Amino acid sequence: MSSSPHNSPPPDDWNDHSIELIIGTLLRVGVLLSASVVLIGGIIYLFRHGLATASYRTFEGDLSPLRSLPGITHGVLQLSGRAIIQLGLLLLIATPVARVVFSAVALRESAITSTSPLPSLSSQSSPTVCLEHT
Amino acid sequence: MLARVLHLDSSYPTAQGMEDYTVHRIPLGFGLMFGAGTLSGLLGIGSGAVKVLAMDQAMRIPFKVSTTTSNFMIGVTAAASAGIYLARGYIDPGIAMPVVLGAGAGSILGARVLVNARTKSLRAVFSAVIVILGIEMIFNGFTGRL
Repeated sequence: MSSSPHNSPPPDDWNDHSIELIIGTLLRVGVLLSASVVLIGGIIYLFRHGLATASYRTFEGDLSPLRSLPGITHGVLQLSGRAIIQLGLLLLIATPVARVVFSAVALRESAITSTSPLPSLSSQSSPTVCLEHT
Repeated sequence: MLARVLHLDSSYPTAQGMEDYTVHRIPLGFGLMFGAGTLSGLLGIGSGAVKVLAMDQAMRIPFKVSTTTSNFMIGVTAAASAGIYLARGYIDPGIAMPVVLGAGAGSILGARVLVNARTKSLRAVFSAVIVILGIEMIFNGFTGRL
C-alpha cells in the first residue's frame, strides 16, 4: 500500500491477475489429475475385460453401485477399473465447480478488502438512475 | 452502456500485445444465449456453435475470446448436468473412458494451437464445422434417427 505508485501496478489489477493465474493452475491440475485417474482405471478395465464381448443391449445404469460417492470409493478400494474411471469423471466434473466456488470466494474477499468498485460506480451515477437509463 | 455497468469491456492477449475490446448489443446476446440454452436442453446438441455465433456476430466480441468463453461456459454448465447423469447411473465408465481421454488430449492440443492460430483460418474451420453439423442433423432428421 505504501509503495510508490509509479512502478507498481494498481493493487486490485494485480489481485485480478494473480486470481486468474491461480484459476488457470487449478483448472489445469484438475483436468490432468482426472485424466490420469481415468487412464489408470482404463488400463485396469481393459486389462481385465478388454477381451470380453461388449453387451450394451440392455441398459442397467440405474442399478449401478457407481452412482454414489460411497459406491465409488468402495469400488476404488477393490481396484475396480470401472470405479477408478468413475472417480476420474467425478474429479473432472468437480474441476469447473471448484473454479466457480474459488472465484466466488475470491470475489467476496476482494469486495470486502478493497472497497474501490462500489464507490467508483456510485460516483458516476446512483444505482437507481443507472437502472432508469438502461 | 450496459457493458460498462456490468464491467464486460476487457482486453485479451494477441501477438501484438494486449488488445482492448468492447461488448455490444448485450440484450440481443442475452436473448440468443437463452435460445441456445433452450435448444441444448431440448435436443441435447452442443449449443457452443450458437454461443460463438451470438458472441461473435451479435455482441462483436473478438473471435478468439468468443470461442474460449463459449468453451468455458460449456464446462461450467455441463458440470451441472453431468453430476445429475452420474448420480442416476447414466454414465457408463467403459464408454466414458475413451471419450474423456480422447477429448481431453484433443482439447489440450486445440488450446495450444488456438493461441498462435490466425483468426481468419479459425473462422474458416468454424464455418466448415457448423455446416457439416447442420447437414448431419438435417440428414438425421429426415431419416428419423434424431
